[in-house]
Amino acid sequence: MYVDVQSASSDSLPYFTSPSHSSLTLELIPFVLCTWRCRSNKIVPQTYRSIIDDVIASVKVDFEEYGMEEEVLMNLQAKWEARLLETKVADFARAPGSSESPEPEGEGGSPSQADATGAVSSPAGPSVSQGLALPPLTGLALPGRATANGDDVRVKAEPGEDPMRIRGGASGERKPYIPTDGERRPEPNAAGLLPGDEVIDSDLDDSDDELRDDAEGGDDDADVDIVFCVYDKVQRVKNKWKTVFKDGMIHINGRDYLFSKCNGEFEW
Amino acid sequence: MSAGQSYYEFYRGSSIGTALTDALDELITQGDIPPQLAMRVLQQFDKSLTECLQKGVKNKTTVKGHLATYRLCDDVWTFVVKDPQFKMEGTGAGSELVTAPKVKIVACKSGDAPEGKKSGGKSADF
Repeated sequence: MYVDVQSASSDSLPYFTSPSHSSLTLELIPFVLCTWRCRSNKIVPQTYRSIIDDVIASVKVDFEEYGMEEEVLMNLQAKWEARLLETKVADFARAPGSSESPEPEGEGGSPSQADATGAVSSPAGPSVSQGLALPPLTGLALPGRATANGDDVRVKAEPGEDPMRIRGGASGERKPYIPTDGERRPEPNAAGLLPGDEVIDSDLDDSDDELRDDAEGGDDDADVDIVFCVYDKVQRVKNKWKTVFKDGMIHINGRDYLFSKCNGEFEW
Repeated sequence: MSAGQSYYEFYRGSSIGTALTDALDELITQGDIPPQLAMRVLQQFDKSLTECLQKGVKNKTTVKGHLATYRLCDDVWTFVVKDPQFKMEGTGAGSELVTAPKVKIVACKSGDAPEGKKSGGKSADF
């Protein structure tokens, strides 16, 4: 199924993933890059690739209805992908590495300056992974790419972090027993509201130790370890919990992982 | 997927979701697209992401850890797990162990997102 996706993508977007490169690099990478993240994390690029392609293809009609030029749609796709690349949640780089260099894609310029400071102060976790991911690439890629990477942490940190913090904060501390608040809260954010709004909200986190704890963790990492998924079953016997999760997106240690099914066993 | 199905929006908080919302935000700010169109894109994202996860991902994972807090509100479970150990089973060889000090798991009820209608969420595969 994703073969189609990949070939389709290579037409429109040479720099994100191209079949020829990925097949080549897939063999080389294990030597150069990590061995620790090549496995389950590997499906992330292709899955994200297919999501992006599907979204872009599907909203094309809507863009036309709104009288948008096709360029605007392409621009959206380029920006989306650029931001995703910046997150470094997976080895997007390995496929695009060689083909990406010709296309710094607008994005690189402005944010990269801002990052100069941001990159330095960027948290250890992500920067370490960058360190690993980058060296093999920089040989191939432009300097522009390196800066783009540096800045990602910064750029990502604020928008990424706030919704998470809200999620935890709002649901618990504001009205512990009114979940809707916590649940809906992230959506407006996701819909593109300003991070500034959330920063104000985050003051409220102070009222709850546990949640503040959460928020602090987020600060340190510039990244909250979080899993988005649906549940099939949640069972408890005494203090033992067993859960069956499905269709999950794990974001942990600055990396993304996907699962179709996840069994959880916890002790309370 | 039936046409009338509704999809969860909470995946928008993921990496790919925030990347999209940031991009849309930028375009709106520049005046390139109207906000309504951005909303439409996000709705499509909800749908595409759900379908791609369901169809394109086969990996299985297990997670163990100490449950620090649990919460069920409006059919949404939230778990905070200390010292979680994720065992990510790869498509090919072996599995990968990933640990962290703490992870939050946000889980909506499986099946159709109950948007508007209250109990539409129960799925056949329950």
